[in-house]
Amino acid sequence: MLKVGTKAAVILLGAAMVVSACGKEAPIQTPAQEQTQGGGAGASQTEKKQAVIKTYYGDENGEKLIEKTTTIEYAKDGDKYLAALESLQKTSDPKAAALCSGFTFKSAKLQDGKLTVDLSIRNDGRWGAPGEELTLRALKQTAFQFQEVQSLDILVDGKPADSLMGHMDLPHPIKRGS
Amino acid sequence: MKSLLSVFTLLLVLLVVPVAAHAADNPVRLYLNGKELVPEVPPRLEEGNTLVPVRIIAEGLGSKVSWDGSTQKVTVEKDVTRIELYIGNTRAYVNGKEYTLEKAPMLVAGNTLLPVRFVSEQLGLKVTWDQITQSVFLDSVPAPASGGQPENSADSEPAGGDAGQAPNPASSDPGQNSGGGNEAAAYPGQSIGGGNGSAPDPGGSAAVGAGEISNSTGSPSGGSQNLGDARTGRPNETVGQVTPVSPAAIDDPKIPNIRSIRLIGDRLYIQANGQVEAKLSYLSNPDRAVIDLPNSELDAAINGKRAVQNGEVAVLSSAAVQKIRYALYSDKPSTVRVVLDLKARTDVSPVASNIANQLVFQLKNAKFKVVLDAGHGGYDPGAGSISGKDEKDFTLSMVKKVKGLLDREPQIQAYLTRSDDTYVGLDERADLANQLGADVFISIHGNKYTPNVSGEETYYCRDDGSVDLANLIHPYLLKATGFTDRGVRQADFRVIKKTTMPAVLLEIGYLSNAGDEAQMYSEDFQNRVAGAIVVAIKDFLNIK
Repeated sequence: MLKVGTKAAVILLGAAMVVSACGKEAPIQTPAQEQTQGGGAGASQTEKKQAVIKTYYGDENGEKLIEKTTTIEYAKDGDKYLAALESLQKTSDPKAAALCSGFTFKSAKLQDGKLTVDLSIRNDGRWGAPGEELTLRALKQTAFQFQEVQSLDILVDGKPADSLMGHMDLPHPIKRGS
Repeated sequence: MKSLLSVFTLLLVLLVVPVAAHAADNPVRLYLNGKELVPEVPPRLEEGNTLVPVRIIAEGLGSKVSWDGSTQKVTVEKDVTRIELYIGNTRAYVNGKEYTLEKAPMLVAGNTLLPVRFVSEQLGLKVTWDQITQSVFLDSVPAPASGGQPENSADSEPAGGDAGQAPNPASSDPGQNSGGGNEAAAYPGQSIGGGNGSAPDPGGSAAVGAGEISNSTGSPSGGSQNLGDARTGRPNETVGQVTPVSPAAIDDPKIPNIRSIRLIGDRLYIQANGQVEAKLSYLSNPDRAVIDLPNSELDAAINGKRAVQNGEVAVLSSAAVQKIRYALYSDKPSTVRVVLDLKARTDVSPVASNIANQLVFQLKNAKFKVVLDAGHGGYDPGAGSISGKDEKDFTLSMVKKVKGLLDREPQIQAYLTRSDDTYVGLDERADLANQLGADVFISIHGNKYTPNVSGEETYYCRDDGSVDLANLIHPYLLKATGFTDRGVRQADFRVIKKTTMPAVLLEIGYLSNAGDEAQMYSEDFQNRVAGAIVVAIKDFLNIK
């Protein structure tokens, strides 16, 4: 992961210290300090983390997944997963289908290796059976590209649904490698 | 003493080798199933034929012997078998059928003596001659086929028949292929090896080969019966070869005999001479009902025929049963197996009998069970169509039409996983079908993807009859819909994965595609597709 903001933060810190040397004594909370504290409240709006990740779409025939790379931005480390999932929702490639375009991802939290994703599906967001199969695979591959994710639990409106779109089984959780 | 009398209860001693000694000098000893018999008149050797008194053998086997002085006729009766012999006459009659004896019966001191060859050919008695002790051994177990090889190895067919395969009526034994795996467990088959060759001679092996030993009763129905067991995957079980057992063991008075097997109308009657219990199971490809009777033996005169190992009951006119085969299927424990070759799917249920030691089974025409699964429902609307309709309404409408047509088929009973707009869990849908013991499962769906994709897809999950069903139904659907052919595909959709019978999921067309969707909600289209599905189901189940 590239911490693009670090250098800028150091420069800013330096600048702030120069300015404050003129006589002001109020401590300045810099973005850099906030970041090293592991994401406390009040992160700077201008500082975002970025990551280059793999993301997945359906092909134009609805028969297989297409893998692409994309850069995601997120504020705190924990926000990475949500950002990664949201990348599944749009693509500029006319030949690729954004399989999660009909979802609203509400949250994606990692705890003890389990990534719990809570989402809603809009009425027009359901595919047929093969589309659901592709969507599930896209979700799995997106989540499991992060080594720290050992299992994935997908909730629909906060509940462990029987199935995502009514054709495939939805285990709670889905284990890595399954 | 066990009665084995099947045709003739005459005791005849074989002359194995032209022995120099005369009968009077060397009294021939007589043994029946290991027990020595001491007749009033000893066996005689006459011109190369040995004759023995009939009465003692007949009575020893529990049959009734009567004498008609006016016609010089001896009648031996046992169950439904009637043997008539005339003194000095080489013609004998067994249930009216004429036989020619090598030597005419003799009357000696009130005893009728008969040639042994006739007895061994008719009775199913194995005859061995002990030269050293000059003894004749008669045993009710005939020698197995030479070499101990399965007699019908030429009839073997490969295992693993497919659900859609039509039975071959021309085959001499149609009951060979394994079923589709959804049959009740059949009795674990045991191949009874005859590999040890004939039963141990009581020391007289030197005498073998002289040409007079009749060591074969001839198999009554021309070969072993393949009463295969689908579940163990050994469709070529050979029965009819009986492991040689000692004569005393065969004649076990503790084991009841199966005396007759009869089909009268739609009821099967099995009569024993002791208490027997039945285990019922079914095999398919082709349909058979199997009744196992552990701890029983075949009576030597079963159904009036000589049949100690196996045989057939001819069925003249029955809607359900083509023929009935029976065999001594196992010797540990001694088990008789009765197989009904069914013409149509039939339920066989035991009913009470007020006759002692009789088992009665009621045969009833059974219907095929077809489960129709309308995808989604209730809070799961399925995919939204481009004109704003729900997939769940399309699927329910489709299954209702299919059921309406299937309800007119006398051989099919259709079931719906849901008949209204309620949600049913995926596992619940499969469980319903599994618990019903359904023959076919069809889940109907409408597809959705990006607007340019259109066409018909048929899915299967498992390698069993599901593939065949998918391949069979898909062309029917293509013809009825006129949609683009997107092929037969394999996928792990829950309902077709968890079911235990041939199962398919039909994606009739794309609700996201203008061309497909415009038709999918029309009555004409749905009726046409429903009709095609019904034709395909009937084709798959081999229903005319």
